[in-house]
Amino acid sequence: MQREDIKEIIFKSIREETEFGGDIDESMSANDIEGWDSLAHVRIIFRIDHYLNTQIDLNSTYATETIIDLIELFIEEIK
Amino acid sequence: MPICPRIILRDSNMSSQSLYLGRILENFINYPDKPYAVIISKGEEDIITWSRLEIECQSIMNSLSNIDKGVVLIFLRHSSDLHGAFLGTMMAGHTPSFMPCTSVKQDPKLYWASHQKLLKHIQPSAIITSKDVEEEMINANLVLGDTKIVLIEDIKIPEKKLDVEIRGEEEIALLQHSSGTTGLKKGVALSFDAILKHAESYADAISITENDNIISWLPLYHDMGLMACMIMPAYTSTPVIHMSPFEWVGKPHMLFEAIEKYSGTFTWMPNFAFEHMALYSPRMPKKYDISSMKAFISCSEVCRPESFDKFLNAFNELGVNESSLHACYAMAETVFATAQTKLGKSAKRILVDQRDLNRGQKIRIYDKDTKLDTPRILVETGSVIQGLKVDIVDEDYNPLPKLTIGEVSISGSFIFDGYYKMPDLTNQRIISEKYMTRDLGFIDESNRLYVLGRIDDLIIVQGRNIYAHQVEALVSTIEGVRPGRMSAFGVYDSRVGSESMILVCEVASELNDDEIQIIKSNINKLLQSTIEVIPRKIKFVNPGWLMKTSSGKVGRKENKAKYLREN
Repeated sequence: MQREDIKEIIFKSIREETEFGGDIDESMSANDIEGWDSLAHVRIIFRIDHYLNTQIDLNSTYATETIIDLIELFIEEIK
Repeated sequence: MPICPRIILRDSNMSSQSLYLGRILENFINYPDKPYAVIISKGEEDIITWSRLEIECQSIMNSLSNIDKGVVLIFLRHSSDLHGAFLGTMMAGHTPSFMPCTSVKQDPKLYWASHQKLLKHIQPSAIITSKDVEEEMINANLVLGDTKIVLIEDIKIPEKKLDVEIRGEEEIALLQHSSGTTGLKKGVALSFDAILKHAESYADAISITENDNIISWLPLYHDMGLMACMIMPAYTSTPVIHMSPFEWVGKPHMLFEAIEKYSGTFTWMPNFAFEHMALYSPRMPKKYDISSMKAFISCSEVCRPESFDKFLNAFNELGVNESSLHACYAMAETVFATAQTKLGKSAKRILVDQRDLNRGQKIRIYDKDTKLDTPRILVETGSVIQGLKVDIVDEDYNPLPKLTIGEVSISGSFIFDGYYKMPDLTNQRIISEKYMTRDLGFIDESNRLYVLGRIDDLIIVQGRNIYAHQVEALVSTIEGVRPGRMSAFGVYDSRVGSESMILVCEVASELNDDEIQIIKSNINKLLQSTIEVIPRKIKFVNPGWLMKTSSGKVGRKENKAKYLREN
């Protein structure tokens, strides 16, 4: 799976969970997206895991600051 | 070497403090090797026996022995140290209060800055904390004044056993701070008499004994975690298996894993957790045997039948059935439980018309197959437990007949003593010895209580209490937002099974998209770091959008209705 595919899945998961209607950019953080609170974070990760068929360690996702970091984390997870 | 406790013999003149703490001291002797609690953290399980708890209590008493009596705030992360710190503080004659620590998503500087006002108000005699949390406080330049810091890493077992301090009946046993909000959090002051009577009444209502096992992911700074999963079971000698809420939310199967391993019988959780568990069900690593459970008790948020149904459908094959799903109506002001559904029976559901759910209106209950344009199914919260009395009252505090919607007021033998150092607020809420809950509800012909929602501006997000006016005060400090020109309110989000917060703000119309984005980001960062809840939606509107009440204030109800019409 290419980086672009993973990015689209992550964007899709964020939109589905937060219902964020604006443009999402890789450089954005949770603070830039309405509705991305602690519970939404977990639910976003559940959704990404579901689409990518992964089971990422949730703790590692808390250390991410931007969506770029999240994309890189899932790229590593899939390897 | 274990310390032999002094047994307190009971007699008719014994204080409630002696009776409550005396039970714990008896358990030190009677059950030295029996588990008091099991703490699950990062995959490790740590068993605290009653004899170990005693040593930990004694060590805390030793550390507090030269500190003036007063309120002791406990800022500790999920760990085995929490229980000894709290009970040891009580035994040392101080008034303990659990406080939340920062989470990974919070900015420590903003978090501690928001607590400065609270510390000034409470003026605690001591703070029990750990080195890492103390470092955060120092980096945030928190001013502590005369408050002493007791580091959990430095506590020592006393050379000689210390006696439990017996205090006057009028003394406060503990403070329970409302969750979520910062600034001037309301500290609910509870006496030993109240916590003792509550423990006996609620234990009787759910028939809990030392042979049960409570499984909990609830934080102890929340009344549900503190009272249902620590203060009551310490008195009934019921072991509790505690896990971290942060670990549970990412790995919900931990709850079932612990139920299976420890033959769990009781767990309490807010409505959203039933939804969260059901959402997670396809990822469960195995089919756990959870048939030992007597009750999954929904509490701290309005109990939704659809959330029960999702949970039931997801886990029916594991042993969950309708009669194991229960509801409890609870609040810190009555220590915890006010009403509880009857164990062994399914919680009653009734069909009503949503349009009838107005204050002062008499409820019509329809046959479950009736077709209504605006149907709503309500779940009972059970019967009022012994020692309390609930009256449904009108705006002038006059009792209303059965099936009529009004404010839930509570009187009885374990009502709180007041909000700590807040006499005006206490007088507003305790009227003629009745606590006015600001909840709307009604009682049916069989004396079952139904709770519908709030009268005031409280928003309950995933079991956490957030006051809209406090959110608005925080957001008013953000540059670019017009101070006081905003409205925060709660809207039920069926996907999460909880209320979500919506924020409508007026901003100057000349702001561009980038500037708007910066304001949004700053609002989220501030609210995340202070109340740990961010809005589901922030709607920026031009000056003039917000509707005012007849008295000229920004009206939340009116603006919520306008927002819902437009979105």
